Amino acid sequence: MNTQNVAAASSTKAGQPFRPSKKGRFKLIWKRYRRNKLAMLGMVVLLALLAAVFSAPLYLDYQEAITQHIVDAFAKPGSDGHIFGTDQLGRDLLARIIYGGRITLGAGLATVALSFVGGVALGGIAGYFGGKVDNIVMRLCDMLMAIPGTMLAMALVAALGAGLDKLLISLAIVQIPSSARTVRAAIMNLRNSEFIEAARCYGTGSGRIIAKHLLPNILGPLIVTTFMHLGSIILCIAAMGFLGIGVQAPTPEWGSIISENQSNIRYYPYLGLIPGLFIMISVLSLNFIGDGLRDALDPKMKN
Amino acid sequence: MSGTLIEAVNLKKYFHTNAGVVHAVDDVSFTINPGETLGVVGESGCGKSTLGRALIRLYDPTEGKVLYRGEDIAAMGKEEFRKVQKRMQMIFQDPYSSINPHFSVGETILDPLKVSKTIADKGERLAKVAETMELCGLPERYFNTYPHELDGGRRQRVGLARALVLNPEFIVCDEPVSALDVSIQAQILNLLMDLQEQRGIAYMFITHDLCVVRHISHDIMVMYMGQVVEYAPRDELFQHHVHPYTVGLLNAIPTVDLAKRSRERHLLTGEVSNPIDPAPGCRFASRCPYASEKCMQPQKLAEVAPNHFVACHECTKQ
Amino acid sequence: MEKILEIKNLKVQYNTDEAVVYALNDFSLDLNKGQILGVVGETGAGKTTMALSIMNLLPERVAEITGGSIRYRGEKVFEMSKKQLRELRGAEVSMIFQDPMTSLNPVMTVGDQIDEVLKLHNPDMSKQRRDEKVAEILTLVGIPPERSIQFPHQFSGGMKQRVVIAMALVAEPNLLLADEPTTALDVTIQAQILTLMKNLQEKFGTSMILITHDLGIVAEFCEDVAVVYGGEVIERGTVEQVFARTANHPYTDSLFKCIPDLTGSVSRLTPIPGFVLDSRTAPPGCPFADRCGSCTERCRAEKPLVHYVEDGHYIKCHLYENEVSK
Repeated sequence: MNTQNVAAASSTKAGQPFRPSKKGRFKLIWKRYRRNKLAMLGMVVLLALLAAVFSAPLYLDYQEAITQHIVDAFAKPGSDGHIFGTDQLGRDLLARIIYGGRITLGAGLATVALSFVGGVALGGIAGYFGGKVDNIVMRLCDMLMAIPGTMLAMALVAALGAGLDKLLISLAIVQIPSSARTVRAAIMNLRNSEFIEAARCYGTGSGRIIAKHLLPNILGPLIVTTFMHLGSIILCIAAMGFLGIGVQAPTPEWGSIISENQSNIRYYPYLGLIPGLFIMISVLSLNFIGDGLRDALDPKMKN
Repeated sequence: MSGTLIEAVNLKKYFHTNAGVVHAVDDVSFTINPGETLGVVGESGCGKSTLGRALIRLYDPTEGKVLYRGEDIAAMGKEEFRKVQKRMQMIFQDPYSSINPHFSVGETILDPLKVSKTIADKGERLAKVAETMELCGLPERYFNTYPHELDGGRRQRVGLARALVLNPEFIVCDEPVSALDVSIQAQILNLLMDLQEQRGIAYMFITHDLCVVRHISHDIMVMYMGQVVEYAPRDELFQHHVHPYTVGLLNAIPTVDLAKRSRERHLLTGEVSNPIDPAPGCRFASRCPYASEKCMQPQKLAEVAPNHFVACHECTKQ
Repeated sequence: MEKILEIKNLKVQYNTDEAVVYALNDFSLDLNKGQILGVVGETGAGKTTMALSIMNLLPERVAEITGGSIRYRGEKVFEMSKKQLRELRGAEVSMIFQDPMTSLNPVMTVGDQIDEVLKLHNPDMSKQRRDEKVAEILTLVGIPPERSIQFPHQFSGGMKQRVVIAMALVAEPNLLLADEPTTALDVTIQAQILTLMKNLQEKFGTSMILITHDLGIVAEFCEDVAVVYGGEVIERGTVEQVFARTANHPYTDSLFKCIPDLTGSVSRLTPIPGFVLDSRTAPPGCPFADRCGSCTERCRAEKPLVHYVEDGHYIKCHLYENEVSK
């Protein structure tokens, strides 16, 4: 027994073959991704946005975004210290956009994470077990999908009450059916593969089959659809903010910034254009990233 | 202890589909002794793969039994079956879809050991993996290689190693070489035969290729639409095959022997259909050149020579 | 004899992300009118690349032709205009693929698909004449003409391949490229399809290249054979010459040894050691050197030339150097 241990240990050291590494795969994906110029641009822009927004407390006081200076109201973009100008209450627009981004982008990411987990759980169960379980889960999802997303989210927020956390949950519930559907389809495709049968041959249980054999193989397409969803979720959050649901004043949020300034947009168009531009830029970047990832992860796009 | 390792008794497996009941395996019985190979030959849809999967309980039979050393595996409790399961493994046809692309070679071979908990110690497990890889002709440096970096022949070795690592007594081989190039095919066949000699493993070798089956089998069973049409020891089958389907199958194989080039080929006409709600009687009758009225009656396997069974009204009547 | 096809020293490579794949290296082959040529080789030998090159259908951007030429009836294929190429594909040269579903449109009836081919190549033909033609060709390939109103999914695998053959032959091409046409089929169906193809080939006088990995198919259905390894033809001759097994390339010889046969004694097979040549490498010498039993230093360093051992039978191997080279 001891000698065997030694043998195993020595072979581990010799050529280091007994240490798993996944480097090769990611390298290849990255190589393919890098070739897509738009996707690269999207990634750089999004990373810059995220970095700027989430490191905000390091260089910008939150008070700047919410403290009112009526004297400074409607300062034009570029005028003394206000790069993007100020709104009707004299708050610096740049500060509001930066702190608003924390909410919009942060809430978007959180929603996506929630719906990802929910979708994987529901879709995984439906796809793997099939039959009655599948029928029940998927018909529930169909019911949710029959209601327009924004409307359903509004109804849910109305029922749950105001607050960022409630907004997150209701948006996630709206997103879960479509990601569950993606997961289910992918799992059904793989469920009858020979490598799954092989795993059953040596007695692998259902849980392990789902976690170790099925999920890693569908992660690629799943991440792609998730990224695609992120764009529409951000739009949705902005729309809700615009309608005054979810985030409460004076907390800045990109959609609510536009809605606050609604009445003044006619004379001070930059108050609507600038936050709108940020929404557009982030959604576009996300879509480019999603496209790039899809191509890079698709093994058929080898060449 | 009796000599028989695996025995199928009137095994039936039906699938219910929208089109009707598919009689994938219909009343099949046979025995496999330790260290021997049963070749199962037939065209697509003849139920040979279903039969193989039923033997190791990937499917539960509709009727009939599979006995492992005399014990019915379907009647076993969960714990009891787990013990038997390790002794019966399977290797698959497609070297690409039969290996999880997200597992490295090492992880693939290690996984059965982890799941079945045969070896508790981690170091010993790795030693076992290394030993099995060597046995299957896989250099140790492949431990961290991912399947997509390997060609078909090497992947098939990984599949074989995954089955062998549990020290099985019986392996169902579902067309393990038909997706491989001829030069690689011979390597894998020889490896399987070496393993049989060294470790006394019994195989059920499923294939559509009569040449391959002749090479590796002790007994051969020819299947057509879920039923056994002919069952005999290898040499007996190749020298005295009688069932019209076996004859047609042998005739259809192109041979490299130029002397046979101008031989008269009695080609089978028609195609295999699905055994959905089949009528009683011989299922081959619609393609059979000798079919008569009598073939509409159910037929049984009859012994025409010692251990040589044929299911045919026409050729067994004398 | 009129040469219908001449491939000279063709070099094709695929530039992929991971590496450059050398698919064809100095590939030379010619075909006489009315001949059936079997092209045998293993995975990655370059068989399909050859077929695609003849049709000038290599995937753009990825594939690069780095040398050599293909002449179809004296015309250089790579220099043809778009119009000439359209004429070449379908009317002059047709192709049959391994998987019949890749060439059939799932939402179009079988009859309409054959009709489409006719329309494309004979725009002046009347609808009535075309209908007659469709019925005629379906009968020829053994499908009742009534089934022309059915969709591909209503046909079995063998029947689908018959439809594909009908589509390939309806424009009466002069050259038929069949890329593993029966690999996806059962043996009894394979025999039917091959016999059908041979009969039709005789009827129409079509020249044919049958690409396969199965030496048996070549022996039974072809007149000439070219053995391909590592992107080049390493042996070429008539079936009688090559299968007589008096003089063979070491690769051909070991191929014969490792196929299990129905006749002969049952013992261990002699596998070819090593693995199929990785086409990402371009060895300076003989591509088979690594696996060859009679390999010498010279084989690794120097590419063997064509050596004729008989009239019309050549072998690319240093072993046959002393034979009269032509």
